[in-house]
Amino acid sequence: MNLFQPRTFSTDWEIMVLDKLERTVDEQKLMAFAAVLRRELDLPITVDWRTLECPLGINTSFAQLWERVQTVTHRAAQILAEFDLDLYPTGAHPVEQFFNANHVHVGTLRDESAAIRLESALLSYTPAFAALAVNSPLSQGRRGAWKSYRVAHHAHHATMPTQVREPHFAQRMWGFDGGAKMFGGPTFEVRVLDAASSFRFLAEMATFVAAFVHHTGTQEPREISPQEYRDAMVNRWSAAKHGLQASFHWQGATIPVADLLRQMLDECAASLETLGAQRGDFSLLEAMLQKRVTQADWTLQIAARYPDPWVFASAHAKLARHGNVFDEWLPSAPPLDVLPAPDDEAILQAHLEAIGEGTHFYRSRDAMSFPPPLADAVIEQLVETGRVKRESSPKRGVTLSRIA
Amino acid sequence: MQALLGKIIEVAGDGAKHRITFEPLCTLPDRKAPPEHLKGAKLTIEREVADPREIGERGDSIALTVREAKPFLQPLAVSTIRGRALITLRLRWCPGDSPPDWVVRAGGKIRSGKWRENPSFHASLQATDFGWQSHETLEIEATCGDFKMRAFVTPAQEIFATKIYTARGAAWRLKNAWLSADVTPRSGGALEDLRRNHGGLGYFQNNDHLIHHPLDWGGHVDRFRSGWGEWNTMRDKTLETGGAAREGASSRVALEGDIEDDLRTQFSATLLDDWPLLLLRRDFFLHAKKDEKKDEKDELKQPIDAMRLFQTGFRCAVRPDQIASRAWCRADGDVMMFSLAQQNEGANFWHWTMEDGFALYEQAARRQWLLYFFDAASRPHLGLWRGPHAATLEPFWPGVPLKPGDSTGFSLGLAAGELGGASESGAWVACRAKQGDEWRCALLGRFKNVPREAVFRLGDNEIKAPLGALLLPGLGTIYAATAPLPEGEAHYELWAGVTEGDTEGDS
Repeated sequence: MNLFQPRTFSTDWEIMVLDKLERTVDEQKLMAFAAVLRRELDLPITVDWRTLECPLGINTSFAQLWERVQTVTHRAAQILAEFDLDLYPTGAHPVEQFFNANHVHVGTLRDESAAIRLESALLSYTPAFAALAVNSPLSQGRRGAWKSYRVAHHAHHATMPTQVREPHFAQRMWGFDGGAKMFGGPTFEVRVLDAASSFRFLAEMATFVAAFVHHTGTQEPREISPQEYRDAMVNRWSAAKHGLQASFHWQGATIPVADLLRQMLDECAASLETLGAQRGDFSLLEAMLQKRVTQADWTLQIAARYPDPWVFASAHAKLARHGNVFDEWLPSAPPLDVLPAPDDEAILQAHLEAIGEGTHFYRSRDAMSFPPPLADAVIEQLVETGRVKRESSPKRGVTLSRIA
Repeated sequence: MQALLGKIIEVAGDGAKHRITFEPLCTLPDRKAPPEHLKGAKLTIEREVADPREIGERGDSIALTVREAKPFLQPLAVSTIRGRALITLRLRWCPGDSPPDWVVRAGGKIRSGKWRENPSFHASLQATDFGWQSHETLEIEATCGDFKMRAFVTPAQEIFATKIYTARGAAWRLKNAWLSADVTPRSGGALEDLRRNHGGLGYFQNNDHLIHHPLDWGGHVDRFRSGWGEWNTMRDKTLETGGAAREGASSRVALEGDIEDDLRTQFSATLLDDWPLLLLRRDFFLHAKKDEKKDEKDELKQPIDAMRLFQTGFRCAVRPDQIASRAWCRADGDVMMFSLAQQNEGANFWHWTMEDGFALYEQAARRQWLLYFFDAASRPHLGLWRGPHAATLEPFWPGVPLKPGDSTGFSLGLAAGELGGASESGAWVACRAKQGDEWRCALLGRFKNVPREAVFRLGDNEIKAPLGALLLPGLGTIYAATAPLPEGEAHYELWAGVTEGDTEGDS
């Protein structure tokens, strides 16, 4: 069994561009640069919301992707410099509302039904990818509550928790953390990943994600149970909150996500080899897993010296444009502790934190994206334990109020 | 608050400490041209950084903190104290080593002198040297080379309405025994400061150390929008004309100006002498466009082409409260409370309206309550938002179709208290103030089943005062009570409530 033939991969990298007034340049202007790069590099470079979106073509090897990452960033920086502009690669703008991603596209798919089943098989693993890629710990004036505000807030509905689909009842969908995308190049798209600031990390991560998806495409399809789905949603929350410090609920036990990612790397070794890579090539990734340190942690230690988000954005952009400052910092970064997986009480507390007074009950769904039976059970527990008051009216619907 | 964005000319230094020379490019956050006195200037700051690449290099931009930018944006400061003669000048920055002499013009007189340096440049003057008497307002203009700053010495008396200058520019101050309110012509006319005269922080006081639009994090602004788009806070619109006056037991400031080619607005704020209550009135007037292009004139027109959907609302921004920034209002017959739990969460309750014409905005941890009154017959929807540094109450009315020649607007009452409460009857605020030599407390509220009396407690003393009706134009009837406090007990924590039938209401 092999769902991907030939084995290809790419990443769509959303990169903000700043002028010397530190404004993000809008799409209308960016289209001109995208067009130049498209023509020169023969890559389908385009624009998205206030970003230059750089799809890095169809790649068959790690070396090819790494070469393209360098070529695209180098040339883009050159042509932007003529207009006093700089690249600002990161997962979220610290002041503005923009979230940016690295969507990894894994090809080449032929069978959409099989790809829909693959969504379920990969659903438990996408939170691990999210934990590795966290890079948005400051967003729109907020800081530090999440290592990925982008994942926590579903990137303004552009990366939603994957729904379990059955091919016989499936419609064309878009925007899952991981899902089949058959229009254009037929690929499996992993959208949950924050845009990288480290160019090298991007190449390593995208190759790893692609190899693991390729590997899963060689396995017999398997269905996901409600318990596994619940665990995946909790793990997604933990990934966004703690990055590589998180522990996941996994097959009836808990596991540090760094250990899980190491297992995943082992599992997909053969697929990595097909992409011309070995674990030894992933020096950044290995060091990050070893220390449980992410790009978000790098960003947060800079932010600690800049309380003002505007001033932080100015300094962070200066560093991020080099594409390698995280790589240089990582060897000296102190290792971080493993944090426990949230138990039932922590899960209740996370839901409680989403509830104010007169809050529509749907707001509590935002906490961990639980499906209705699980989410309703959480509300029931909060009501029964006297932490939340529930009211209902024809006009206002069902509302919840936290009891102090 | 405001800061500066510069373009780096030179970075010098090694190790962690760097000396950065730059030319100012714009102010932040609004990205407007720097003040005139900074045009062509080369400025220098020092910064400690872990990695010099954080600063950048020649030609790069650099964002200054509020603290770094302040000396350049406000190099000359003039401080005065209400009713006192002392005027203090401070020079925070000047281009050379020795600044030019300071010059002060006021009351038709000119004084000048050398700066004293200890450790920064400063000078002290007496307003009486300019003929000022304590019941008067004295306008001062201080200059030092190219720097100019205006200020007012405000009168000693309890009640006044006068023009002032703050760090943000010209404004008007209305003051009675209870409250002081600053009305700015910026943002289409807005309240930028509101404080009780005795105790507590300003209701709109917020973090001054981070870059932000001042009224975004603290203040009352009115808003409008046409259709689905963002609310227009008139942020960039400063009203051209205005004035303040004392009239009939109240102080009033009125402002007027164009905000769009075909849109004019008026804003007025009236502070009643005897109550902690501001009356606000906003009007918008839609005109025909003055310079309709020729090809537009030739187009065939239908009445709908001139129609504009016009929605109005207001935004009251405060620092988020540690307990909850909580709104109380009547919805579907019940008095309900609403608060938001998460940062950058917003809620617009467009499917129901607030009944009985009130919304109480509570910051209980710091004992600040703002009670808005509006026309009970024209019910707004409740809107709320909460960010990392500001929480907002954002009521909004359903839109109206306007055609040129039409106008729309709304009236608001705004009562400020150190206490507040809500019950099934309605909502109220209470506070105390010194009127002349006497301490008094007051309670203002809006009630469905009108309570008989207000109850005030200080220490062991309980004082009851009958609630009387105040009929306010555009707002209807509210209820108010006031009573003197026993001498020497003003320092006790105030408790207040209302009697409902034979029981006391919640507080």
